[in-house]
Amino acid sequence: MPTIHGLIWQQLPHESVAILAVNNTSSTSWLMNYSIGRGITYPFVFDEESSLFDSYQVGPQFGNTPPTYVIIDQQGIVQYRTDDRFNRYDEMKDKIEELLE
Amino acid sequence: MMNHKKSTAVLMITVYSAILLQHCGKQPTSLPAELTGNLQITGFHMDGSLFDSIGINLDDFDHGTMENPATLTDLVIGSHRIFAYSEASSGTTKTVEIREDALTTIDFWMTATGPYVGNVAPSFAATDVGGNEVTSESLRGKVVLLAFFEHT
Repeated sequence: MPTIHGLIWQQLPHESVAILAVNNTSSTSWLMNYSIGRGITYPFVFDEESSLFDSYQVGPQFGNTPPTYVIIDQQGIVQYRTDDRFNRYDEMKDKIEELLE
Repeated sequence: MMNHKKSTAVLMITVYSAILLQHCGKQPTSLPAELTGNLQITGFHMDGSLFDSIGINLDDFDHGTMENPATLTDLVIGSHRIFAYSEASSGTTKTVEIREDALTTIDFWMTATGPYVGNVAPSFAATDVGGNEVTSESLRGKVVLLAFFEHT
């Protein structure tokens, strides 16, 4: 997550890009410490009941292991997804920039 | 006083006569029947297969979910606005021209909702660590990166 913050979030215009870190922990204090402690300024959301994890089919029951990254365009269409555990930060940044053009 | 009453009566007779005359003119025995046509609506998945059912909203009147393809009969000829939707897909609006006694066909290609490339992203609502609600609706118009990660 700190890498996303530095390599993607800080490089892109915040008025046209949103990043949402989704975590299904029930430990709200852990999540707060994690994001605040690392100085991350994009929102971290709780997904305690895994409704986002389920609707985006993230988790071992769907045959993948987080981290999973999904990029959604301005019209709400999924344009990119990776859940192969590789952190393709450059690829994701390129994809976002391409969608902003 | 008398003169005033008299003139009022004359005026009233004149008005009534005018109304009577207007209504005694030849009237058509019935109004001309409205010209109508029929419309067939088909909803396709992007791969060309058919949706099982399709929701139809015509000129802001919701016909609900109908069997796909759906047929609407006796529509007044002319231009209509049609919005087709499906539970599992995004909606689309099109304009269609209905012609007299003809069956007009219109096709909708709709993207299914799902979490993979090409799908309509599932809608969501969540609360961030600051207690603010974040929804897919509020982020519309932005490019959104969702980063799912586990408590490590």
